[in-house]
Amino acid sequence: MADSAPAFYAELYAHLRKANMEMLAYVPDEALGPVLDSAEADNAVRTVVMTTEEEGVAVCCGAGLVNKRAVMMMQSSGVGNCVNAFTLIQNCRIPFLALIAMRGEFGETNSWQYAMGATTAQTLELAGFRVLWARDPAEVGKIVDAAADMAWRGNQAVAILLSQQLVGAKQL
Amino acid sequence: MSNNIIDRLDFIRDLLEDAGDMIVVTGIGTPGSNTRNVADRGLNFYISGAMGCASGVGLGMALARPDRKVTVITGDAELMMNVGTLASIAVARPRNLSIVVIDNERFGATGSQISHTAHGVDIAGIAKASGFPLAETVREQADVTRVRARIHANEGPYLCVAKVGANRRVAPGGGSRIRDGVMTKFDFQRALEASDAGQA
Repeated sequence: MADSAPAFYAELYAHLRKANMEMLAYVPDEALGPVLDSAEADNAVRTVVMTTEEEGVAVCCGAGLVNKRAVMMMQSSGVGNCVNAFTLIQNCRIPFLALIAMRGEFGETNSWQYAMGATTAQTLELAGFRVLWARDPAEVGKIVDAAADMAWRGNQAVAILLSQQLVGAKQL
Repeated sequence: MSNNIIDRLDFIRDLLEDAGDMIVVTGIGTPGSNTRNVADRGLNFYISGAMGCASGVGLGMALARPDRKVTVITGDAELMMNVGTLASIAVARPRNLSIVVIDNERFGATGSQISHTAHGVDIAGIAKASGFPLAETVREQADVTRVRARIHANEGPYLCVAKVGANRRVAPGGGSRIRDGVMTKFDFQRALEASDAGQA
């Protein structure tokens, strides 16, 4: 991880590992870069790059079906790509954890991002997810702990939304 | 022009002969019901929705369980819906993953409208160009022996397109008995646990 990354990223990753995450499927986002860097430096975690987010949903479901704890990491724009794949989670009740960096929200300057940003949380909820927002760096660790317990012990689909209030709005 | 002489039921039955402890994932459509009809086993995971997800589910399983061979059996249109997964599989390069495409050149379940492969889209070619070490198209039933050997060689990722007849062809007395997803999951996981215990 870059030394310049805000401290909450290290805590976020440490808490995912404490919960035994062993696989990270992703479509990258700048705001998720430090998490990816940590995973790639970690021999105990397999990273899997996807061409589209719905593939990542399938991959994490496959891992979940054989009892491996996987996280799907993506930008909020990708949530719209996943809707039909999410039915796999709900139909088979597969424990599922998504880590999502928001766009089109707090301080966004690209107007094109607002349409998907505005519907991300509701799209997830309609698809059966429990949605947890992370806005305050001091709360990141406990939010990851709660989400991991809800997903992997409570057998739910859970999404952590990293607000732009937390990760910053990309300046264009 | 098509010269399809593979019978899809015979092909799947022969493909899964001696499947042993291999995990099989089937995609939505006739390939899944065919597999259930001719080679039902606990270690088959049948996806009856989420079109386009079968290869991704197989990839996740193969990476999570490198000690197990994983074979995805799916249709050409199901695979094409998320054809990018072939690129992701090639990058992840799981040796234990095989994809078998039952290619009837039709969207079979929706009324047999002709699909992309009928127009010449070459799925094995896409897989090869993506970086699969071995991808091929087979057109004869006799080829199934070689396909099975390649799956068992565990030197994947491997992809085989089996060109089959255009009819949906279901087994005598067998339809598409779709089971509840949660039940499907538990059946599969129980079989996997039993199989793991048997190996311990």
